Amino acid sequence: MLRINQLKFQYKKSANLLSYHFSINTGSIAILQGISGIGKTTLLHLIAGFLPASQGEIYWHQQALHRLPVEKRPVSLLFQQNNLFEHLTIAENLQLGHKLPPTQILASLIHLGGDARWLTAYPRQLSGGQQQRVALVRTLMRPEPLVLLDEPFSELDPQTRTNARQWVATYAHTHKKTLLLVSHDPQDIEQLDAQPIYIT
Amino acid sequence: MLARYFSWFAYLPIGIILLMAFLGLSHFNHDISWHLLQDTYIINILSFSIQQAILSSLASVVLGYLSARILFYGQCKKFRKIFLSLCLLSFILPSFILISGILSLFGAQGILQPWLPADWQLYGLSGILIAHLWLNFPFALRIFSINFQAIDHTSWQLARQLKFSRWQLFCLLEWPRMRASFFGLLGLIFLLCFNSFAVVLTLGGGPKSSTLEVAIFQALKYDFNLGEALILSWLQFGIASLAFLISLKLGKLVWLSSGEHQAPSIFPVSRFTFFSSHIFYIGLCLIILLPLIALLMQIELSDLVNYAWLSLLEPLVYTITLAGITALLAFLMTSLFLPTFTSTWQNTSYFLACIGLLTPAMVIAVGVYAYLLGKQVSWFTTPSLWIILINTLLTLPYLVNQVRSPYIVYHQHYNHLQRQLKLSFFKKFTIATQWLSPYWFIGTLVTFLFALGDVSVFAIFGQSDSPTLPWLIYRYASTYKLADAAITSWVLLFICILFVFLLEHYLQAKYEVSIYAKNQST
Repeated sequence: MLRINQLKFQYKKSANLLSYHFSINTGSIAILQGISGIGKTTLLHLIAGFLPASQGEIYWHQQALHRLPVEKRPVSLLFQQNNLFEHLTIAENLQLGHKLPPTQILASLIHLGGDARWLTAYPRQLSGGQQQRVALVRTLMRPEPLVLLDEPFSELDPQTRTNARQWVATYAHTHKKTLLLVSHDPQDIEQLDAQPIYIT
Repeated sequence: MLARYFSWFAYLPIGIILLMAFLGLSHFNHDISWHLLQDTYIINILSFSIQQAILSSLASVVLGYLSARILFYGQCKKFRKIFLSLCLLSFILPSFILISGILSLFGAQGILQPWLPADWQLYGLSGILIAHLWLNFPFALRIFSINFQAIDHTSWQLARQLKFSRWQLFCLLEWPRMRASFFGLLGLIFLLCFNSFAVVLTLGGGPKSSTLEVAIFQALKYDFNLGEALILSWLQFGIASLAFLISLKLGKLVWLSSGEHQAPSIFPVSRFTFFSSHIFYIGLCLIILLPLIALLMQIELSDLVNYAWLSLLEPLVYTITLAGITALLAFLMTSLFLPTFTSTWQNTSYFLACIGLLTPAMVIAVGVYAYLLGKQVSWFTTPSLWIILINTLLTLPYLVNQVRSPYIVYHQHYNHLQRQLKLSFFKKFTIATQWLSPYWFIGTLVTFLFALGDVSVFAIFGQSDSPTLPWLIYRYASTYKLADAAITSWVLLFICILFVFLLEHYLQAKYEVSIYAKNQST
């Protein structure tokens, strides 16, 4: 279980104090919702360890995540941007952060409408949606049990979006991943059978 | 984290050389009479140094800007890449080559002599300005041209859509993009001209038009007046630091980028504008090439036959070795500096790395010289070592400026990602190196070219029996062996051309990786 306990964060003294308190069961999917600028991405960065909380705790099972450095947290995070190294090919980018065989990764990518020809391309040679699928595949297939996705389907067309949701739900279920997503799309909650968490 | 702490140790050699220089400068305190500052000779030198630097930098930047504007709006695109390479070449060119060229053009037996006014005097302010303009104006032109091309295509479209007048275009689109470069260039060229040594030494023509840098050299080498040299050095350091800080505050200069990018034509050009700007373009090419052509014309077949080619071999090998080791050292030091550029002390680290631009070559050379003299260290047994060390410090800013920004961008974009992916140190290092390698290569090449043209440090530490190529040119030119000076200049020029084309090749490769692919879709 992921437990966010009275977690508080403030960018600077004059800014609003952000406050979070909720929990998610292991193996389930939760979607963070709320208006832009309310602190959804901030929460993902707090859980991943890129921002220091001023108060409160983050527990993954019995493990206190808030005391661990980024590298020691069991977290895989999809950023809103800059998920791929621009000077490395897609194949090289896909192989980072895990030890799975390339064929397995490629199979997932093709499942999401990807193409083997992408492998030799550089990120900038792909469209935003194509890059997002590459990053999504890598993030989810890494061995970390807790997956944080910041607007993972935002650049996808409706058809690909539906495919991607299905793949994410199936993969997360079969590999017992706990997912926390940021999304503005109500269909995501429905199709992913997700627990909504409203941030106010 | 450990690497970052370790990186600070890399500044130790800089600190040691600076400390030696400053201890050296303050060592002979008892000889220093600050009354010298009221001396009319010193005041004249000081005001002339500032005056020529202001005039040279203003003229170079304004002319560069206006010319770039004419070429851009006149859509002069033919041979643009070669033209911009030529502009870069004239900036990186060892100044003695250009000086030989200017002497062949405007000198007493110069090609243009018959057309010059009867009372024409090359030596003095006119000669210095001509040389500084030739060295720096093409470079300013290159920077502005690239800036013009870098303005977004959609911004021009939007401007046309909104029916901007020429004045609005200038105020709202052009100037905001050029302002930072304009002041950055002004500061950089002021510093270069203020610290200019070779040009003033050769074309100054006497105490009336001497600069601080040359006065230091003369006080030290000819009058053996260490006290005066030290006071002048402090003065030079103070003013250069001030200029550096002002330019750091006002301007920003990305001074080496590819000239390959070409924005599509946005504005319709009238036939008249098109032709007149192309004639201007051809004129510019000729003007920039003129000193080099004049150098060629100076050489006759008999000169080539009589030239002591074998005696060139040793200075050639010596020059390339010195420059090569300097570039290598600068490369090693910069790679160690890198982690400090993203630390909380990043401004301090940048300032320290750029101190070579802040302290003029002559000041450091004189300081270290004075220190070694005071400690009775027999520096003359290892002159090359000191030349290399001081030149490394002086050329470091060029390499640091080339690599620092890409590294910071890399860090901003990917630091979170690589931490998130839990990459090993080795993997992080390999990926970062892949990203930085073109910038490394370009920066090291530039460092090499600058070290190749060094005169100031050699003037203090060098041995006359083993000269470098630039010093050999100076020696030939000062003994009126103009043909020999021309041949030697062309040898050095050939090396520079070779490296500038290599440089452009890599700039283009870097550009292709980072931008060209953007609009390509598989």
